[in-house]
Amino acid sequence: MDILVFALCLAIGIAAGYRNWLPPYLTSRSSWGLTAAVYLLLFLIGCELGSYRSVLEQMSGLGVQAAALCLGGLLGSALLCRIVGGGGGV
Amino acid sequence: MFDPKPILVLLAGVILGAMGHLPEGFDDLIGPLLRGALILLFLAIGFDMGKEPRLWETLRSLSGRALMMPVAALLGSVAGGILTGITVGLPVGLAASASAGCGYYSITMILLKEAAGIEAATIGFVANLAREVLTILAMPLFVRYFGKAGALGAAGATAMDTALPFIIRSAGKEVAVHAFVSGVILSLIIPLSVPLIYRLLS
Repeated sequence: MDILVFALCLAIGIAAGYRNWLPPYLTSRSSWGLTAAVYLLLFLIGCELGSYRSVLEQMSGLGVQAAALCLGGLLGSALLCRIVGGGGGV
Repeated sequence: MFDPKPILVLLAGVILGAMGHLPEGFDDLIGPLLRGALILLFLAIGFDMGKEPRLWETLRSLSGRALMMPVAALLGSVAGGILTGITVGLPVGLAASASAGCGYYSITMILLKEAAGIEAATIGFVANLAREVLTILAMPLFVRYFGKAGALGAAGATAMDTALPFIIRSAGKEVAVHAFVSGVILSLIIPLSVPLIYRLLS
């Protein structure tokens, strides 16, 4: 899906929140809605992942690649933030 | 504290899918379902941001260097991820976009599934979940070797919730506000930067 659609939805959401376009009973439940949407998506992706035996069988190889990304990302963030923010404070 | 619910929800789906209990036609349905849910997700993220006027006031009151931290965390993560990703044979676009998740594993998995498929989504999920766990376990080491700013960067998006108590314990209370704001800003830019970086580098 186009990144522009995501950006547009985000902008509409911000405007709706900022200008109070939604009724109070929906406003008070928006955080709950966000959590529910994330859980629904994770569940659906989990279902698809489970039905792809080939991906599950490759898990050890994917795990090594994921571990490499994890370490690279962690150290890259830590190093650049240390350079930008200095060693002491932020 | 670490919240296992997203992992349990995902695992429940994996078990159901592996047991073959999905309704007929599920494969055709999942694409439109995911797209619809993603649109709702972005609307809800935006709405949550918009209804918090204090968030915008806090952002305006912070110094330029404090606002640079989340950007540095994101760019450092992408650069580090590309370097290590190439060494294990991953395409640059996938390595960069998965690393751009900065520990926000649920959203990164969802976005990578839509942009690059189920394998990429799995790599993104495991990499970012491992980052969250490793950040918590090794926080004192990050403070020692990379300073408070480096530790805050390592925590990425988790600096606003899961990793915050560990940052405070290892780096002190004075970094709590900066850590929280850095995590919030990253959580706001990650949903757009993951698919954007994938698109630009693939």
